[in-house]
Amino acid sequence: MKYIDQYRRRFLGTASAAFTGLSIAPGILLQTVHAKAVDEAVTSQYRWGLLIDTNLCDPGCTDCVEACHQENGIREIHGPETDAQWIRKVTLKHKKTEHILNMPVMCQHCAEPPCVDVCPTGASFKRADGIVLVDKHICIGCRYCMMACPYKARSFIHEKLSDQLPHAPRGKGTVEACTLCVHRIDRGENTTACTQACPNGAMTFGDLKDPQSQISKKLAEHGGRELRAKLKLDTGVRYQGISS
Amino acid sequence: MRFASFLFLLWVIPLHAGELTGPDRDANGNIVPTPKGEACVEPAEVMRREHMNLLLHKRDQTMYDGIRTKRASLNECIDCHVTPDANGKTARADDETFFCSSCHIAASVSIDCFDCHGDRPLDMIKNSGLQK
Repeated sequence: MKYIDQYRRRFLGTASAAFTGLSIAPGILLQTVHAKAVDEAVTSQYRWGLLIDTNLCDPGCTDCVEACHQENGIREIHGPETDAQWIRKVTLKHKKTEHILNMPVMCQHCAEPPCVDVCPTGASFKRADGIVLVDKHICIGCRYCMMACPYKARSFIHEKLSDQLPHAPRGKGTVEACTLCVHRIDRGENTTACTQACPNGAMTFGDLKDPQSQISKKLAEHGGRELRAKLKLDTGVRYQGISS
Repeated sequence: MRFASFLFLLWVIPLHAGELTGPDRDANGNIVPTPKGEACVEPAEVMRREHMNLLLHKRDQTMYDGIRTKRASLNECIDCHVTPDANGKTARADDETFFCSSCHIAASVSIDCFDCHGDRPLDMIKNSGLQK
């Protein structure tokens, strides 16, 4: 409960900090770059995100999906209808131009996540650095979040599992989704399994708050759109080449 | 009839006596598998009383704050206390020879940690061919 209260307080804290910042140094932006120590808590200094260039994504390739499953110990049980899916390949065809889009879709790590809004227990939460996760210790498996997610990003575990990987606990009766390879981020690695696996370099991982990061530079140069942008969820995952 | 039960006890006691002592048993006959490391993060008396509080505290720190230090981490407990036997196999979470279950079964306190957490070290999972 302590942590859930903290989460609520953090919102008020950020609001007041914004006002203080305005009065002390108008027009001056302080940028400190320093990697998180292992025993340090994550802060809102970072906002982790992904940029996906759909023009570089191969139609038949599922390397990112396989790498994700390998990384997080997701194994086939009863087939695609009920198995967990942290990333899936989506193919869309534009009605007028007949342009075919290929892209991987995973949890979009929204700044305003609907899954967090609807969760009755507080299990669905957003970390200070923008990663949306499920605290499976308090998840009751009601699946409200699965209904609320506009990206169909979450999966429910129906079967008893065994041999879960140490960094990726998963279990029957709880909901799960892409963690943005949070265990790697906490180790200080600047990549995810899917990003690393993409043979075409279609995915870029990085800190959206750091103007010098590769992802921010690419976004500044070519832009990047949110899926279902009208919902104004301010997603951490952005796409290029989806406007045709 | 009394003689028959005496004979029965004579037969039963030596049969099970070996199970109540031995290298993996403590003075009360509970199974305590040999750990890999030299010393635990706290003395045994503290761990017996406080392990659940240490784990709960660490659980929230890891989950919400991304603090993945080794002390009081369940993964470290598993790495040290779940060790392979002569055949290279480890006890599984439901077995009474499994480190946590050896006490929890005796105390009749059920735990559901291993519904979600793996019950053996990463090396063992890799050796089983389930993971590259």
